Amino acid sequence: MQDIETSTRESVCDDEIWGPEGQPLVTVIICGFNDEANIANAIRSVLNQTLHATEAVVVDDCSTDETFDRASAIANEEPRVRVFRTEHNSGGPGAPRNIGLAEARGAFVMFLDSDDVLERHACYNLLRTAETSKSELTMGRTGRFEVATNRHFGWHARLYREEAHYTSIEDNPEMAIDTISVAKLYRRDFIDRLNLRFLENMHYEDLVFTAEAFAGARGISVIPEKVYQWNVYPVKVRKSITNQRDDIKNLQHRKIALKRVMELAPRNVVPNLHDRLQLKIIRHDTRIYLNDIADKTYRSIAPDVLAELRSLILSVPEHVIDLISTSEKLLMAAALAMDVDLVIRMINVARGIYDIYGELASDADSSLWEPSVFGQFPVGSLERRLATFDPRELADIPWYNFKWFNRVDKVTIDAHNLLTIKGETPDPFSKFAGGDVSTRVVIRERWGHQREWTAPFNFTRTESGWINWTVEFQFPDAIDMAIRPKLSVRLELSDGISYSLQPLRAKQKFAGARQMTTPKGLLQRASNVRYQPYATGVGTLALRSARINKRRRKVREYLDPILARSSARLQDRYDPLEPSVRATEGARIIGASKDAVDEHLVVVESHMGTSQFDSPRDVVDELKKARPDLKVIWSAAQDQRWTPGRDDIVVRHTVDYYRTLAKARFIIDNQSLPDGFVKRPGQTYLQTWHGIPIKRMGFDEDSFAFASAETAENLQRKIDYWDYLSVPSTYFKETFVPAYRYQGELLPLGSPRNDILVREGTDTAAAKARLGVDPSRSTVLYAPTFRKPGRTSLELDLKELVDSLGDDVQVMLRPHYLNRIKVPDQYRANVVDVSAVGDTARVLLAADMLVSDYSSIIFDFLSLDRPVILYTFDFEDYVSSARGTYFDLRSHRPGPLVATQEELVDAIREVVSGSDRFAGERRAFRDRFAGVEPGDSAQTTIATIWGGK
Amino acid sequence: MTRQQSFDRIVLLANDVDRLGGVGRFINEMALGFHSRGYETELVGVSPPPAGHRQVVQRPAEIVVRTLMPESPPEDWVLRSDADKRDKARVARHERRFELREIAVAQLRELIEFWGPRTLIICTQVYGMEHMLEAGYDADDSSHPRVIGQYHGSFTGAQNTGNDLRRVLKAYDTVDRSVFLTAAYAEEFRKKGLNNTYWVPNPVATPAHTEKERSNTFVALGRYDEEKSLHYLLAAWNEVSEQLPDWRVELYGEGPLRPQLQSMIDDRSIPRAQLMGKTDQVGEVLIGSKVHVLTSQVEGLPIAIVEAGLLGVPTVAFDCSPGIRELIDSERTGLVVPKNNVRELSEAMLSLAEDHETLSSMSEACAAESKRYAPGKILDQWEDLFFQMSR
Repeated sequence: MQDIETSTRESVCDDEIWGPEGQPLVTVIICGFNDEANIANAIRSVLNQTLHATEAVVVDDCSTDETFDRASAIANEEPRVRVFRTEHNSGGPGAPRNIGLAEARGAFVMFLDSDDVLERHACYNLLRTAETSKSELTMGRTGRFEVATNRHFGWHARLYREEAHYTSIEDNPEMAIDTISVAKLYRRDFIDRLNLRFLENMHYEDLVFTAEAFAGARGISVIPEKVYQWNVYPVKVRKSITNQRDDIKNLQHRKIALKRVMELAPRNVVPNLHDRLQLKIIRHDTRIYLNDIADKTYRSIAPDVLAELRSLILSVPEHVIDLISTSEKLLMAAALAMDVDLVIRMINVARGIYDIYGELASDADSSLWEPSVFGQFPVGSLERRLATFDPRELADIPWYNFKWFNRVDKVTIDAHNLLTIKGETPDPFSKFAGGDVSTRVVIRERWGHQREWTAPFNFTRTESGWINWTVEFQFPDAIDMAIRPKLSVRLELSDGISYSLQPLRAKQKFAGARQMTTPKGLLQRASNVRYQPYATGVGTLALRSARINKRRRKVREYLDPILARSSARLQDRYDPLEPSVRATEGARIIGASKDAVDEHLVVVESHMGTSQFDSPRDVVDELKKARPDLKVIWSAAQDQRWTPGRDDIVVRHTVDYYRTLAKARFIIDNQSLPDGFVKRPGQTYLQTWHGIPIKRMGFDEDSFAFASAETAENLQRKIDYWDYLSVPSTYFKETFVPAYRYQGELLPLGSPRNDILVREGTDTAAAKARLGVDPSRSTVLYAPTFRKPGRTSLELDLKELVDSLGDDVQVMLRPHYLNRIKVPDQYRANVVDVSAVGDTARVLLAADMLVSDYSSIIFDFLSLDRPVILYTFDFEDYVSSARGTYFDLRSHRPGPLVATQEELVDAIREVVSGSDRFAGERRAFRDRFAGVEPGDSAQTTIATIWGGK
Repeated sequence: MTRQQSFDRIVLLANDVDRLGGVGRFINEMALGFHSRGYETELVGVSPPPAGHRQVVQRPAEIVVRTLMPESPPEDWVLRSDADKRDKARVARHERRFELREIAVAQLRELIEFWGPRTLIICTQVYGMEHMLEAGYDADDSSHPRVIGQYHGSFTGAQNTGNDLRRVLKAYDTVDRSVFLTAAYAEEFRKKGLNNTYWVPNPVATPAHTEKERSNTFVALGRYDEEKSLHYLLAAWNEVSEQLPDWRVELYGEGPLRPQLQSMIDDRSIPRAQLMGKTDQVGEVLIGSKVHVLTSQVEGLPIAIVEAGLLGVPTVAFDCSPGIRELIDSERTGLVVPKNNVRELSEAMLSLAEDHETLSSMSEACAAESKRYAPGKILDQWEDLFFQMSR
């Protein structure tokens, strides 16, 4: 090594350079090779640190460009910069960094690559934490910046959410998956204690260096601040060493590095770290190369890559492989079998695009995947073991949560604009459209008026378990020529209660991609609006308006005002009014209505147009029987699953909605009509209300007592519109009615929505089957109330829950719609997200017990007289917050209150084992608060209101 | 290209100087403190305080005071609708506003050069920093002064006040430190991606007072507006006033809700509750009272709690922001009750009025606790920060 220190300034007093401590506190080692464009930026980012006592040690790896000269020029001006050079080019960052380590004078050390930059406060923030925590290793957040697109991306962001301190990596081995050596502050005496150095003459030296550092560090701190900007350059411009995956040597180097990593993080010393890094081989190192194969990059070396990966996968201990999910196991099996097609399929499954499919050889509780491939491996071999799985893991996923691979084979469009789409869907678990489930295709405008059309989806099942399907869709003449929205084309599966929309999958070049509709009518022809099918960026089939040439564009400009006018004609029906004008505009429309109230018109709204169930539906179903002469119109918010193809819908907040409300003779609701509704003489309004309150409501809310007169009057106005109110219990009558200062007629007839619970409450098995859950297993419904977004919306560790409850329990999850939670794919058979089920009563019927907290769903469930557990982990917070409650859940409770997941599991297990200790308290609670449901509430309600007519 | 160990000059850059209110008091207190510790000190206001909001302050002549704009920028200047654009007076105000901004920026451009690298600017509001950036301030330019950005509100406050959150994150992104009032606020901004967070509370001096006998009084000091929501205090008092016949409630302040509050007192015949109007004798009011009540909807780090504490008056407050619990160790130096919970507020008031022993121990505890915010101690914390910045 040749020492060419260019800026020794003995004359400058040290504390003038370094501030009060008189010496550098942090040394940033910058290594570079042929990077004259960026080296100065990197050095400047060190000099501009708010921690002034930061020195830059630049080591040039014998660049052939001006890298060294540019760095030296800065060093001539700046005593805080020193520049060195390797004796000969070493081909990687290892050797230069080691030189830097030898030259570093700071008590702490960081690394920086010449094409990246340090965040301005990086050294200060890292040092401050390292000094207070005494940690040997302090880690900060890295941001990736894609230079070509000028966009920022994260890097293991979830590891850096908040400040954390660990005595050793064993406390949180997860940190070790951030394997870059940069963005970390190392104590100098730590580096010396372990004699940490980079391996030279090989790639992936970072993996080895950081593994050794993690394994040996006494004290690891994590800060949330971004400290490092990793600039990602387009592959064509400059290829960093580790991005050269088109060369098989790249994988070979990685394997050598990983072998060394395992030696440096031995299982007998740091078992958690060791196992986490082994798992990382499966989840990360292997996956990178398999993704390349699936994305069809570097195709030519795919066989070599698979051959190399085989030995890498085989090096991972079996107890680690046991930790991975079924889809990951099948992916590993496909890789070990070196089957490119199966690898691609399983990468798509692992990415969550569709669920596992394939030929299956099954016996009672195990299936061998693709027996023609894996049957060839001996029984007991790893390949065969990995390819064998419990089919219930997929079979027990309810149909509405299953993701089919609906492969489009061919699209044709005939001269009359009849679209025909043909395709196939594998269905090895025989779940496709069984029982009451029907199929059709829903075509929807992606923007503009967002209209929907439906088309039949006809299918036959082949002997090998494939669905052969055909869709015929008459393309509408009345397309929106002004807006020309893209159209989504999706398969709908539905039993009228639950809905599932599935994409149709198309390759980028599918048969029929050049087909187009023929313009109909003069205007369409003139502006040449033709729709054509295409595959979206995520590989789904959709339709869009075809490109037109310049000349036609001119014509369209000319036609635009006419087209816009025809499009505007649809506004009243499809476009909700702007929120700011709804109240005034709605009232104006109703006030201006000259139509008389239509004696036969009933307008129904449930949960402000987001549901077609709850009491309004039960009342309407009975009403249609009793009064077939009435015409029922449903109010629906935009984009509801249950509305396509129906002619009894009015879109909430549209002009037509207010016009329809103005004409309604009867209104049935369970929550609240918008402020713009003004009741007209001769209208009758039935309020069925959607739940029994626990928290104080209406005028009982403290804040309401001092609300502006306007707010209070508006609420009172809306309540005064109600003519009838469903009253499920005496408690409801004593709390809700005065809270809302309601003066109208009371209907103490129970809740219509709970009639079905009384009627069908005895046959849980049938209800489970109907819901697609396993009738032979116990079901626990978890239905928490709304929590403020941003907080832990669900205090539940799903994996832990699944493991501790065991195979005989299925959890049904029904979070508040604003707190949606994603159930990881591999738990869907054990934790069923029932958000897709529209009718809550159907879910209650299928639940052996309910776990909830402060939700009014508890009162409904009591009709079934089944056990209830209150999981009130935030009891203090919630109950003692602003609003207050009508009674204390601790003294009146329908079941035990538990505060931790452990207690919850114990309580569930107790119920599963057949105990019902709280039956007495529960019934007392029901009698006092929920009331006893008569089971004919809808009928008696109708008899009271419509009986006389 | 070296850096001095500390700063020669400290500039406090605020929206305006000598304006009534918290920030006005703060910059004056700090200027006096820095001056007394030997720093060359300047006070810079972006504009003069608006008419009617000015207070007269005596301070040593060596403290330089500058005002960047010759007059206050006019209000009602935004040109949104076509009608706005046709309104000639409004258009003129709009133009004047931009002229004034240009004048301020031009002045700052010269000052940045004049001040140089041995000056530290404490920018007390984000508005000043926005002018600095427009004037070409570059934190990476070592010939420019160093800047500390300060935010006097809470994190929730920043979220709820116009564009404050976005403005803070943007303007203070490159300053050397962003200083918040509490560790909790600093942590929240840190999580939002601000990389230079630090915290120092504001100093609070003991309000001028004479010794006198305390009477059984619940006192509130705050504007009669929705933010201070004093109607909660009246409602809570109404629940317990019968049980406390020898206690009273006094509301010092002024504001738009005076008629509503008065009619609430009248309509409900709330006894012994009085709207006292504005006072400039805060010390006298506090020393004569026993319990301070704060029913605000949102607060930063309300100095009223500390001022009351310094005079031995514990506070009962709504839990409206993290700053409240920063200042009140509930049950020891005061009581914190859930926000807008009238029942618990009334119970808290009752319990203190009825339990002399607890009240007097709280009185002592809050007095001791409040000394943490003594101006000398806060100045020490600032100088610690200066030292860290010199490393």
